[in-house]
Amino acid sequence: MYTPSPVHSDLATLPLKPLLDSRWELGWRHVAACAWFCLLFLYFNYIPLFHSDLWGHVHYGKWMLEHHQLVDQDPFMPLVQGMHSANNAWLSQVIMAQLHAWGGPHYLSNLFAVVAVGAYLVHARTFYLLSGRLGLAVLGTMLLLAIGWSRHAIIRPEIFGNLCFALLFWLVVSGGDRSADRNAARGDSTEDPATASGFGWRLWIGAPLLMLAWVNLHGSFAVGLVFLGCHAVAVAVEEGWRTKSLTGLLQSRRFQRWAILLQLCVAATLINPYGLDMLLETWRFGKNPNLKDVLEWYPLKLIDMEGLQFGLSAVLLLVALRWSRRPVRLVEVLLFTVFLVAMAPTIRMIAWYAPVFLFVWTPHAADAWRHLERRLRTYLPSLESFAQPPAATMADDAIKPADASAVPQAASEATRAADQDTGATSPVENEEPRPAIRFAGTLACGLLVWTTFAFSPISQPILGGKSRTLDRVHSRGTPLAITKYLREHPPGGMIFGPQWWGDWLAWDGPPGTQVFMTTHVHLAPSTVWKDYLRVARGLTGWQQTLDRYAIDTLIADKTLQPALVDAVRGTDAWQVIHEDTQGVIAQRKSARQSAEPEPTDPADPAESTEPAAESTSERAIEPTEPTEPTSEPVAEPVSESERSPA
Amino acid sequence: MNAVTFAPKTWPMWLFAIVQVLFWAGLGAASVRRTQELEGAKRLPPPRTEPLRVRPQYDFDWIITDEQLRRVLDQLQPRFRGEKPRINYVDHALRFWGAAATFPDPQALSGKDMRDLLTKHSKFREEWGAKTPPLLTGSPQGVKVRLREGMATASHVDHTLATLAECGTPVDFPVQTASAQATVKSLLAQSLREFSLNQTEYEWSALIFALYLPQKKWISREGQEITFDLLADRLMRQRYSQGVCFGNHRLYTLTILLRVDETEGILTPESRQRAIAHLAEATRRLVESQAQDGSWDGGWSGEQSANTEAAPSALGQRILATGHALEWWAMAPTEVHPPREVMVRAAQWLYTAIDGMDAATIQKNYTFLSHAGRALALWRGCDEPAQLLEAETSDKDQAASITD
Repeated sequence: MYTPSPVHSDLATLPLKPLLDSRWELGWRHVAACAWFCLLFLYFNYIPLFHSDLWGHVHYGKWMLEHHQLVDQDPFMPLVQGMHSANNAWLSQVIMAQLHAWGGPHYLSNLFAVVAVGAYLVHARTFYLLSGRLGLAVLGTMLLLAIGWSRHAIIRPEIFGNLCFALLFWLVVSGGDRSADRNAARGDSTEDPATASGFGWRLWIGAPLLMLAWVNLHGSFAVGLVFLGCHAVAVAVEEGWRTKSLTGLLQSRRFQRWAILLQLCVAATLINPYGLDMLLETWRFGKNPNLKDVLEWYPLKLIDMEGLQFGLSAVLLLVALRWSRRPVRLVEVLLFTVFLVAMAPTIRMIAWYAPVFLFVWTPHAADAWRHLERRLRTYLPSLESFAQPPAATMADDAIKPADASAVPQAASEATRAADQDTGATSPVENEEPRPAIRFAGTLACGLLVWTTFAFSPISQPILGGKSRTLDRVHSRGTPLAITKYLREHPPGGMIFGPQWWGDWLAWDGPPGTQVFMTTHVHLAPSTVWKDYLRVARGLTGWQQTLDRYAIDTLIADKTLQPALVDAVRGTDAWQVIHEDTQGVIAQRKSARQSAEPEPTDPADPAESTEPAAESTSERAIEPTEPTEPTSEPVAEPVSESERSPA
Repeated sequence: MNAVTFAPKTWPMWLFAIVQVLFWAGLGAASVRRTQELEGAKRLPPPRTEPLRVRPQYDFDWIITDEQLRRVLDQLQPRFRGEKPRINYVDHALRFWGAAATFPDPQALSGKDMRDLLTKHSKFREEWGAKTPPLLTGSPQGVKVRLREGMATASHVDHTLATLAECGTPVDFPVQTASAQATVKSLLAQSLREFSLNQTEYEWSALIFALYLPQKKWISREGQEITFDLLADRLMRQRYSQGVCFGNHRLYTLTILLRVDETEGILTPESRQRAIAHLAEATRRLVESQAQDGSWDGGWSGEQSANTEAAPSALGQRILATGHALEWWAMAPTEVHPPREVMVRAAQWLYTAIDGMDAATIQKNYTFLSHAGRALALWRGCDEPAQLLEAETSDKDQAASITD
């Protein structure tokens, strides 16, 4: 029998001393939060790469890396030659192209997962700072996903914009004095979180640097400026009201800080290859007339998914405001109004409305929950608050728990009892639990993180294993078979295809493939766009239109372009040379035979069979432009089944 | 960890106010200025006062003799005097004969008459009556020519203005609409403002721009930077058979671009080479498809046209195709010319066909015949062929007076 030596015996009786300090003692709430983010990360990892504009961006990036210059004119759409535009996502495109060069589409998928979850994590941190409650922070991210659902799976440079927006929120909320934050968490502050006594260095330096990066990553940097601008305007109004004089306003330190911060950030956005043009281009972009035919630029309709999402947010806000006793700050009103107005004519703005809504909602929800909790505890004394602030051991800059006097005695006792059950550290506990149990939550989180990593494709380069096949990486709608056929049978000349496949055709088709239209519809001259719509919808005159552009190869989406497919099948001039479940490829039967003659110079104009131009400003003798406002998909085709690629 | 806050002292009010004003005013001013620059780039390019004249460069009597040419010209005098001359015919005739033309036949409209008919509403109303909608109408962009609305209107986009350009009409030449006075500049402004590179008919627009605009690029209404390289590519984009008059107007305009390029340098060397190669290919197809009698028809390019229902008669087709081919060859560089006998056979067929033509047939096919007559005149180095008729008349008068 083994008898421990005296030395070993002494060691065995010594109390265990943890290697980690107490701030790593995570409770069940942390485990739940960790599980949520792990699940989110896994989910984002497995979202397939969509078949539309992502590939246009990657292709641009590849072109820039090969030519060592910025894209001035679209190199893959010959019909937009002469249309110049500031490329406001050049840095994202370069990043994506480089990652693709290193690891193929899998690396793009990994990038998306990391950036998307990163944004959610940053938002969670911000919501936690705003509410002081982990549960609300996690709930906030869930609501962010729900309200922005229609856009959550879009993989394009916009993901960098989302991350930058999240970081800006965090900088603004965290960059101020701690006392102001605590006041905000208690819901009794009338000052903006970014402090009575000054901004942190993080905000002064971080915000301009962030804007500098953002302006080169994606055109959404303008929403960041609007966010800051709303803060500055709100402070200006408040200070002006308080001082009742312009002099007082100009001397107000609060106002001066915000004004200078805004200026620094605006100045930072001028540091990009296009200078001031980037700002002007972003302003003008939304006014492009071609966009009115594109689905994601449609106005908000309450009956659509985005409308329902907005409805949900409105209900949540009303409920929170009903029960919250926290004053509604002017900046909240401004932010909500501005972003709601921005979303009304253009549903794609819901991606920016959602985080702003939560920025406004979270502190009120926290306050409302606090008061509701108080009420509930009078009926249910044993209730452990869902949103009970965590122990102070969470992190260095954690919000200090609310003053004990602010919660009813019964709640405090319940909290102590609950903490005893879970073993969580409580400031009023006298007994120290056994060290091993204190870190059970930590271990569980570690296991979750590791398992998530191991099961996600991102671990494949490190842990090995088989990569996903291409048909799993790409979305179902990616016309892989079509581009495979084109590579095996390279067509001559420009190809006409649906614009949502245009980027993919140019990317994955034979080298040098040029397409009629891609998702960069804003670059197309209006005549080209209208002609595209005529052919894409199989309207009268589609063949003459193709003649005018010398198109001999046509690709149609069987699901979304049935009229065109029928028209192609119904004419003798075109022959279907390839067909699969997704689309058809048709070729002109004789490249030397025109299907319909262009009008000749008639001896008697009255005998001409061509219709007179209905609009002399259109200067065409083909049938008039299509007037039906049917949707023209960009990233998300019309059919509901494809609205959410996941 | 950002535990330290930065709380600088409050700026002096005057300093803060100055910084604000300077920053925002500076940004605003820079934005306004840049916007104006961008909008300014879209302003219409100022035209030349006088359009470029692209003169014929050959005088080959082996294609057509003086006598043959005079006979053809005599047949093709613009005998439109009388009620309601077709604008389409007047358009073509003015281009053929020139603005200074006068004719011995009293039934023939002079060049001045024809130009006035196209540019003066009062003259138009005289011929077509007050009930006919005016040919010229004012618009916010300039002055528009009515198009494809019957015999009192033009038949192609910018055809009328192209005719005026080829006749050497200056931009300050007065133009009269039903309600206002204007100049040719207004017609040009209308054309420039409405132009889209991908519009269905662009051949005459491109011709106008080459002759009237000294600038090599400008911004269209769609925001597209238009260059002559782009216009040349547009002219070469479609199949040879497509376009008005079996695609021949595209070839003619491309030829004119090459000629203007020789003095004005409007094309890049690569674009010029592509244009020459394109015309050489057209020549190759014409040589291959020429009929035994020297003529061509709508199938000149080897690309079949499926529907000929709306096409002119067989004779009309042949005059159209043959006349156009000779016309653009007459202005083209020699490197794209076919063998000599090809051109001779074509010219002789035209002469024979026109010489024996009755007045009714001439009237019915005048627009095609105008190209044919012009082509033959150009091959003799003459772009104002009325002078040849005047010379002949003068000779005859002299001979008669001597006899007397």
